[in-house]
Amino acid sequence: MKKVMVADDEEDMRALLAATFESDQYELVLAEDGIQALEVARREKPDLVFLDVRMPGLDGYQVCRALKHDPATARIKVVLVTAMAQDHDRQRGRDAGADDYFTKPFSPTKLLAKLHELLAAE
Amino acid sequence: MISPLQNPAYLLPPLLAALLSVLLGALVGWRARWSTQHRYFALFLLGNGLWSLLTYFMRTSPDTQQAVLWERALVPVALIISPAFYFFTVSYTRGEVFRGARPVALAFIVAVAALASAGLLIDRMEVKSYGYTPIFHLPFYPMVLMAYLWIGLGLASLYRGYRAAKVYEERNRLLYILVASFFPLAGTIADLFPSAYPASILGNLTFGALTMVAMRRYHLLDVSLALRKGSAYLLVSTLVALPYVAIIIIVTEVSRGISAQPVVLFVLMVVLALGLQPLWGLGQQVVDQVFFRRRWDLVRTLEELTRRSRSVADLERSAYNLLDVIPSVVPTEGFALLLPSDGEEFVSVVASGASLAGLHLSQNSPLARWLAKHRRPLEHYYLDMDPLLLAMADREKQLLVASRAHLFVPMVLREQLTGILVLGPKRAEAPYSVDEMRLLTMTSAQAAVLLDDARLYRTISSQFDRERRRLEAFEAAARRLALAEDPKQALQGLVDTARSLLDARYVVLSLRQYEGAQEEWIASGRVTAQQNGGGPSGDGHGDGDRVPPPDASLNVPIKGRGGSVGALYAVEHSGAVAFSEDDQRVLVLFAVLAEVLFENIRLYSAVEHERGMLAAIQASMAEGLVVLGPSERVIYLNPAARDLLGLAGGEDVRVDLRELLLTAPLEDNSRAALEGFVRAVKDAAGTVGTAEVQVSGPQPRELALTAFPIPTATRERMLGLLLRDVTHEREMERRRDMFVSVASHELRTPLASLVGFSELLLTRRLPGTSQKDFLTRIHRESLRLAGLVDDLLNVSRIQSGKIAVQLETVDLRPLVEETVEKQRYLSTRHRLVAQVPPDIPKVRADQDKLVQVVANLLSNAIKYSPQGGEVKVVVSHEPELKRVVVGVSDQGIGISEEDQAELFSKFHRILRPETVGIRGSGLGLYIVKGLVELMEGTVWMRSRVGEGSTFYFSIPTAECPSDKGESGALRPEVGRP
Repeated sequence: MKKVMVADDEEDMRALLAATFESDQYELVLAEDGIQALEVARREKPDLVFLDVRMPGLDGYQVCRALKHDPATARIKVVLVTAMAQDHDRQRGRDAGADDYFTKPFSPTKLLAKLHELLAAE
Repeated sequence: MISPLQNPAYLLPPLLAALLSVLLGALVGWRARWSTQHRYFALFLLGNGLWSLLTYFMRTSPDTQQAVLWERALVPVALIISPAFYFFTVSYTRGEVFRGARPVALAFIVAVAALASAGLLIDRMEVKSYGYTPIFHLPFYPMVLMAYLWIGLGLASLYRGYRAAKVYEERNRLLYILVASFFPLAGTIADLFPSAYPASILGNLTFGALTMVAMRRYHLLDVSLALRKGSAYLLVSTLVALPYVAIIIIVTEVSRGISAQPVVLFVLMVVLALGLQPLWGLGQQVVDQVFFRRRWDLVRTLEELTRRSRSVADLERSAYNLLDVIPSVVPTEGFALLLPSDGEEFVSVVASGASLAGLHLSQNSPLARWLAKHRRPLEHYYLDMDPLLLAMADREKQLLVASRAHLFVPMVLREQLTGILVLGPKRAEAPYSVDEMRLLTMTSAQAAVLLDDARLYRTISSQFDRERRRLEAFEAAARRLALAEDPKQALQGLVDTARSLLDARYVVLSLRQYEGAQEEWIASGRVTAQQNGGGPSGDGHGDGDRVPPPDASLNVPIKGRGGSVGALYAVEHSGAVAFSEDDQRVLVLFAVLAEVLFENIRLYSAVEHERGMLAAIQASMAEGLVVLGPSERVIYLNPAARDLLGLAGGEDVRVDLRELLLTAPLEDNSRAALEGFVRAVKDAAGTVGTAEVQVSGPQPRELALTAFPIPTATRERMLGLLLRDVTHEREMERRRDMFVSVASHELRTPLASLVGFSELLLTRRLPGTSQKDFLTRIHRESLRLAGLVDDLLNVSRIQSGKIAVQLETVDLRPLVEETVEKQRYLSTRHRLVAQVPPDIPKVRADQDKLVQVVANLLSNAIKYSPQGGEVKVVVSHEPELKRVVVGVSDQGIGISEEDQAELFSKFHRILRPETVGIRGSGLGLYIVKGLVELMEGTVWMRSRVGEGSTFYFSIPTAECPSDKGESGALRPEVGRP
């Protein structure tokens, strides 16, 4: 069973993402801010994390970078989800090592498909 | 007894007499070119000489046969010379021969010759104790009587002349001849008596001697000089010949001893002769200096005079030089130089001797006319003799006589009488010799030339001086005008200078700057009404002088190119000479100057005006303007450019654009960009280019540059650079961009919920609880989105100043209480309290906006105290500030200092762990601030982390007059932090 983590400071977003991924196939863990996200990731070692960029504490880029640089968590796929949609934001995401980048609003169906894709590639 | 033939007393006299007579005759004959009297006298003397010579031969004859032959030759000669004597005396005394004298003389000569050849004069010779004596035939006696008649007539004319002679010297000369003539006469008479000693020859001798004395002492016939010369040359020639002779003797003696070639001898002699050649010239000089001292001196003096006068152009000095020279020419007692004066007279300019000083002569006087006609010196006694001169007025003649003028020498130049040299009596009352008169004529000719030169020089020089002075004055005036700052002053100067140059009484300039303008007058000098021909009097400055002087004899119109019109008038002094052509030219020149001046004034003021306008425009521009000339050199920087580029003000910045860039404190990337920009513009040669640079320093700025070419008349390239301070614009843009980006971000978040949850609802089969939950979320987020949109709109309106504020008198108490009530629903955990004192005054505010503000603050207070607690609204009055303060406090999480600084700006959201979950747009406080400030209030806050916060705002009380008016149109910058 694959483990998916969702980190976002907004409760609605957490609920949405949880609702999107909830199924028998995946185990879900949640985080509410950047620091928590890093802790949980290290502890739970999910296969994929969805990170909001705008979070208190550490922002999504910082968390992503930290995960990717840590050999223990480097294999975790990171998808950044955010309202910031400009080219330089995407570039930042790529520089941080993210595997993908989704802008809000997004279609949950598409997000799910991306999840499948990324996890199947293992 | 000595034979009479060997008696020296018998033989010598005729020989001596012959020699003397021949010598004198030769001398006089040599002078015979000069006049008839000399010719006759020469003839007479030569005749005498011949007679004496023949007598000598006769006396040396061995016998009477020979003697008779000689006697027969000499007697006719003796007879024939008597008419010659008569003719000589008559011509010497300037008389007239009696009518028919010449034919009679001719007849006499023929008769004598005939009788002599027929032998009818001399019978025979007899020997007496003293020598031979002739015995005459009868026809001899009538002939001899005729001869005596001739001589008698001659003597008579001599006597007449002697009586008439006024001059001492003249009288003496005549006396001498008279007396001298008696001797041969007496001698010949004595010879008629056979027993008497032959005295005629002695008489001849005496005559010759006395004549010589007369010549030497009394300058008879002016042969004294010739005499001296003759004797001098004789002496010198002898002296010079002596060495030659000596050489010949020596050579002969030498050659006798040695057998030398004749050729060698010849050559030697030639060489020696040549060697002695220079002696000849030296000898001449010595002769001149020793024997002819006076002449030598005279020549030298004339040369000196010429030399000195050449370097002296002064009329008076030349005349005085002459004064020095004349006495060395002739020993005169006085002389005067008469020159033409301005009137019709010759007046004495320099004179030595008081009597001649006051001498003057009318230019029309017969004397002047005679001198002009004859052009030779005139002796004073001719005044009584010449028919032309007899017409002279008595008064004049008396003056001449009184002044003891003896000789008048005309100075003739170019066939005109330019002056008269008047000489007084010569020393010892001697007559002026021909030589002297010739020298005087030469001197006077020279003097005439010199004086004329001097006069010419003076005239030209004074003319030249005048012209030069005029030119200088003109040049000075022109220069003054060119530098003059005040045109009125310059024109006054012009008019004054013109007046002094023209020596006019009144010069006035009238000027009209353009068609229809007021006429202006600038004048120099004064003119009275009377002088002005009945026109107004004055000096051109008073009001009544606005008419051109009617008697202005010079009037030059002036036409300026700018349409100005005027004239220069000049009035001369009364009685003065009228203005000449030269004067007119001067005035025309000044008119030209005036024209130039008008034009200059006009142009200058036009240029100044333009320049002033341009400078004002450039100085007041907010944009910076840089003008670059060839090779990108900075020609001009306006004040704004200096400021924008951070350059020190005031100094001339004549630098290359690149240097300019180096001095301006630009950011590095800006510097590179600017250089690239400049290069591109240079290369593009004529298109417009833009760039943006950042200037760092105490006032960091962003500048937009626009380059544009400036077309010039020449081929020089000029570039203009416009600098605009776009700092604020860019800042605004950045903010706007930021706003848009943040706004879109904020909008996306609720949208994400809407899209996501609605998609889930549509694509999945969900349990009812999930459905309800999702729909609730959707609803909530939609509301949030609506609120956000409202907020955004408010913010936009506040920013663009499009909010209309209706200020009215508002009662705070009910408003606060109602708003508090309405917000109670937001939270059950909080206790909302309103504290409004009963005596709170009314405020001037917009009711709705005030409600909005209070509601906003309340909702914030609730949101940021999630634990609950009390939210209090306290209203207080500050009378001294004429305002009412409302404070909304909570007991929530508080706000950090960093956050406090940015709290009222757009989209500021507090990102702290405690605020996780607190939703907000970050615009609320910005809107509060904006609205409060629109109502002329202020906002502030107090808070500490963990201790809650209080937000305050103030509103002016109702009696405070609004300074915005009811409509409330505003600056768009409301809300700028």
